[in-house]
Amino acid sequence: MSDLLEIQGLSKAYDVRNHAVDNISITLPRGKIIGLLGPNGSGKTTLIKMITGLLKPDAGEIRICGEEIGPQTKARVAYLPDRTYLSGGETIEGILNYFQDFYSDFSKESAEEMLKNLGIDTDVKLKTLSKGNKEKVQLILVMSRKADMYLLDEPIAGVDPAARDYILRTIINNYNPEATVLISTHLISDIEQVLDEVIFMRRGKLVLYTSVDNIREKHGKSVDAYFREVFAC
Amino acid sequence: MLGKLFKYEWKAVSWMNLLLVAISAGVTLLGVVYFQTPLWKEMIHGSMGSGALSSMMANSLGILLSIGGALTYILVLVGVRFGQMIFLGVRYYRSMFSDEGYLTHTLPVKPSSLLISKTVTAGCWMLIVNFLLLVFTVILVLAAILGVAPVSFGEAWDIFRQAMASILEEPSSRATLLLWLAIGLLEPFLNMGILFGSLTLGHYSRKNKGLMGILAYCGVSLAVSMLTVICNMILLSVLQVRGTVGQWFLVNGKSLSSLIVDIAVAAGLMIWAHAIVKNRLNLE
Repeated sequence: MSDLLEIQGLSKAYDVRNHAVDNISITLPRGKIIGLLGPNGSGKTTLIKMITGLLKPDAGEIRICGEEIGPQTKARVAYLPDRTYLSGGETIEGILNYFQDFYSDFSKESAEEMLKNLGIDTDVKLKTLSKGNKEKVQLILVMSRKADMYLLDEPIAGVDPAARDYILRTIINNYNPEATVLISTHLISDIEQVLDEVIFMRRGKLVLYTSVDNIREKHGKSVDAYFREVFAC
Repeated sequence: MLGKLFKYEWKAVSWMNLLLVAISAGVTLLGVVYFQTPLWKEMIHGSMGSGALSSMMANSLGILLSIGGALTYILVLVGVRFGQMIFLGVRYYRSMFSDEGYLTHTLPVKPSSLLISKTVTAGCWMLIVNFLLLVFTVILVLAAILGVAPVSFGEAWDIFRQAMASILEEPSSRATLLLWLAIGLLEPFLNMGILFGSLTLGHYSRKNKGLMGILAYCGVSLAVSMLTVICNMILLSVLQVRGTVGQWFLVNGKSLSSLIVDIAVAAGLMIWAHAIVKNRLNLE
């Protein structure tokens, strides 16, 4: 399969002392679920935001399907940020129409089906939902796209175990098999069952990029156990 | 995509603009109703000569109500204009640089489309509200006059038409009217361009970007005032050298200069804002 994401010499510093991402080069293939793992402050969110175009790199370049970040790559990337980014005053139906209008790969039927399964009425305003349901709505919107790349920033942080199961099930059952899913998290044990590959980051640098099978075979450990070993304080 | 951006932007800002129009219409209606009451007629006729005690008291009450009402009306109009500016500015900032920006800037659209859709939509609403405020004021003034004057609406319209016709006979008056028409049509869009461009400049700051945006707007507004004076002086000097400076320019020069400066500043700020959103966007 061809490469989906190419990153060369990528760097981003918020100030002179704080290099959030430091000279990262990596190429990601299609059709994989990849865990972007690292402790808090390791640069995971910064890296994802640069791929989405929300942050401009200080140096280096990013290409998705051979194209620089722009409207064309944004049409291919489905992004779930680590915050509520939808207007609370809008109804779920209004938000579905919005996504349908702007993303040609968005399936409104699929989203409605998932919302129905959760018992969420599409006529209600987003602000009337609980925090957990708001997060689920956002996930459903993202996973209802047939994108080339899914960028999920901390999708299971701050939710109960049952909600985590739901989120992981939704990701697995709905992603485009030809796409790559990049999931950023530090809750590894919850997520490693679904991962094909992992990227370890520490202080903005790329520490490791390998397959989950390789970690298990070479080190005889789960990803979680190996992560603890690598990042032991 | 630009059409879709317009559609959603229009929808997002309509409710508040309609609310402001409804408030203005409501206050105007109250004024119109007041001008139909005997109190208003009594006050006008009383001030023209009647000396009875009851008439004097009614007269005083009428004067108080009229002054209070006029002040309230002016305050409402000013409040509507400021409220609209604040709402549109906050809406722009939230949709571009707060959490909602995470959706805005991951849409598959060009930065220029985002800026154009927001500026034009806001400008259109400002134009509509300005026009309606003018209409409401004219209605109120007409109601005040027709409430006491022995003329009908048709007669008043004829008087207005004749006055306009005599004014427009003068070429300089036509030029003035044309200038004010251009100002009326363009200023809403230029104001929005300056406001949104200034708020975007706040993005250069690492912290307190919203506050820096507001300060940038204050700074730009001050600069615009100074540039208008300078531009007026330059135009005046050029015309004096050519010996063509006339009464019309002495009266309208400042308005013309203001329009020229606003066009230049708004265009510059929009180009700058585009460069920031395209090349320096940092939603932290």
